[in-house]
Amino acid sequence: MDRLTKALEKARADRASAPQTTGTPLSASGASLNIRGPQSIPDVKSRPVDSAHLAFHRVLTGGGASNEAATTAFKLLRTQVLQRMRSNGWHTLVVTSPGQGNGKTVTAINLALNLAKHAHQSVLLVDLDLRRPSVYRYLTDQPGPGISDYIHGYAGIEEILFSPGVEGLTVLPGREPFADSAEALLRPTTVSLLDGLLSRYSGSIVILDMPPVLAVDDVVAFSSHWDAFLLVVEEGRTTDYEVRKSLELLKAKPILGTVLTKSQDVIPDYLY
Amino acid sequence: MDDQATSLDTIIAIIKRRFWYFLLPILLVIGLSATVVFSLPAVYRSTGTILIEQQGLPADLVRSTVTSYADERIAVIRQRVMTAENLIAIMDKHGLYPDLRSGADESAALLQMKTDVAMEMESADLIDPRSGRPVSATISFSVSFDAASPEIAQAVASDIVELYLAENLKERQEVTKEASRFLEQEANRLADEIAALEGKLADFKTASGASLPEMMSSNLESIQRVNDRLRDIDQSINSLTESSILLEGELARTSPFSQTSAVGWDGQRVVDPASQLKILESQAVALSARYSAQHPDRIKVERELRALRDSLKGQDLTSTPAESDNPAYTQIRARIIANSTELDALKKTRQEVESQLADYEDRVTQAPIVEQQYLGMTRDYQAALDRYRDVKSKLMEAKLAESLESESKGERFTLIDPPRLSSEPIKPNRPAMLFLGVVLAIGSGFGTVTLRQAFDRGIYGARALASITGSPPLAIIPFIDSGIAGNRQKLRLLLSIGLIIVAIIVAVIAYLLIFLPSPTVG
Repeated sequence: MDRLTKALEKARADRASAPQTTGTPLSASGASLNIRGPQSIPDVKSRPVDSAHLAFHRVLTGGGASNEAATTAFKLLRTQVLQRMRSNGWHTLVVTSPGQGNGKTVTAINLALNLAKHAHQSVLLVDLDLRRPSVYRYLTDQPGPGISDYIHGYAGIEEILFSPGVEGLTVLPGREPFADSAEALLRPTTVSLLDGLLSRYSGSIVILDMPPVLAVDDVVAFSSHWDAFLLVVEEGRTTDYEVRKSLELLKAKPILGTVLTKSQDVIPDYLY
Repeated sequence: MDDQATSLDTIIAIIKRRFWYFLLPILLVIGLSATVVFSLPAVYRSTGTILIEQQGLPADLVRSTVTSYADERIAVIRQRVMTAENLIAIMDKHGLYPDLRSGADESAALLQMKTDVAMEMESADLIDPRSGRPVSATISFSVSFDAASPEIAQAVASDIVELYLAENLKERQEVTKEASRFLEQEANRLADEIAALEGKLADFKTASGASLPEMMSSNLESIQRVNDRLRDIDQSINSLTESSILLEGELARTSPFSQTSAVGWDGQRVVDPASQLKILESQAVALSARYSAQHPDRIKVERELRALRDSLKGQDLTSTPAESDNPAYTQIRARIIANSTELDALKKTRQEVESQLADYEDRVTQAPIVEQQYLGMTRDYQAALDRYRDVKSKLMEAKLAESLESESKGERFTLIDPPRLSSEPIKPNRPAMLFLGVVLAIGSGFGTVTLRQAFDRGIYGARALASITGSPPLAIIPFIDSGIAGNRQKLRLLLSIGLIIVAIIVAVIAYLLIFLPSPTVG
């Protein structure tokens, strides 16, 4: 809890000092960031992704008869997420889970994909799990730069951002893990980058794939930078206690909803 | 978990989720139970049934001397059959329990044999014909033997059944023989007793037969008769005495000599010696007065006197002289003599009769005592006779019963169902045990799942999640099949096969380790 309080204070402090430092880190890193207006989405590189690879990593691209239920479920999720975000005026959604391996990243990716592909919504998916960045790995096995490179100053943001062949979907992946992800996250560089991105992609929905809320305090620390969270719960592994604790930790922020993954449950009628 | 309603769907979902927790214990338990079941040595049982048949001949005709109840006898026979001697003989004959008999001590093998031999009695509820009350009587019993092979089971069971039958016969025959023997002894003893009594009775009769009650009437008659006779005799005596007196009187009035007396040789009158004596004596006196002793007349008279006296010596002078010549005199005299002899005779007879009478009277007075004694003796005799008769009839019955047994017409044991070769072992009941094993397996499967579930605090189902968060989840994402379709299933299949193989291997190893080294019976 100590660490958390510290992080919160730090976040508040950062927030207070954020507007002033927007430009500096970028210029300090030397990367040129074209900050466009809210209406214009910058062009990003397109990287081809292998559908087989995607399928293997449980990223549903909609083709084929397999995983029909999952596809339907994601569609359902997409609709509700969109609806709620629009009605509440939220732009930034954190996808997190109580523990590790609950299906958070898969859910985030699928959601982003669905939103972009079928809802014709521009989506920015950011892999903010600096501890174990896995979004890139799920999308492609081709090596490429990640956010860590930006943070360390090795690459510019344009090089890192890419589109996986789906119109409207932009991905900011991670690459190298950080030992202290919360610290890395709250670095001025990272914060300013994200703020910049948020303002650039203000018309889009930003989905942040963040580490498990009970594992590290990243989500809580970064509270000021996101609007709502989506809690991914793994059936069977996530316990009652974990969910309650997670909700307790994040009680300051609005919850968009929960997602039950890896479920063998029959989809109840009332959800249709 | 508490919030979830326990419905069939939930249970099925749980089992699907915890599939391996369910399957593995099932496989393991089935494997182990199969190993156990099939490695247990089979025990075959051969049973012979013996029926207790009632006496063939009606009991009124021949009553059996064996009176114990059938189940009592069966129990006794059982004890006689199951002696160490018999059992050891059977063990030797069929080579049973070689491992238990390795030492000199047979007790372990005997114990085993006693448990392998079983006897069961079957009874039926009947109405006792004698008392009319319902009674439970044993109508048959079965003897069985358990062995590792059906042939041995049958052979040994047959031997034991035979022992039972033989023992029963022997026992029955013994019992009946005992009965007859005892009765025979009794009969002999009684016969002797009777003979003795008879002898006593005969002696008694000989001794006091005359006083017997049956003689009473004849005795009285005799007394009567004798009294009459006595009276007659007395009458006769009286009349004779009277007559004698009369005759005596008449004799006195009659002279013994007739008027003309006979002349003797010398021309002198023959006088009877008494008169002669008187004459001589008077002459002697006269002479003695006149003459002296030397006078020849006096000497002559003296000499005649002497001679006469000598000849009259021994003669009764008052008796009737032989030389009486008066016929009347002699007649009367003869009559007197006859009377007196008759009188004497009568008196003698009277004496005799009197003694006879006394005798008879004596008999009569003795009668009551004799009667008492006689009755006593007869009573004893009669009693002994009755007893003897009784024993004799019983003996006859016993002998009949003996022959009843020896002819096997009595209540007998008949083998109605000889021991057969059983095709199926009686133990272990493999199907039942396997079924039990399966039930156990399923139970353990469920048990393991339940146990696992008890430790599971995960959230299952949208409803559970909704109850925590307050609203249902936005989406329920099922397992997403990655890669090739059915990859997961294939993996599952491979895993199942692998596990079954492992289970079989475990079972085989268990069998080899646990069951093979130990020796099996038979």
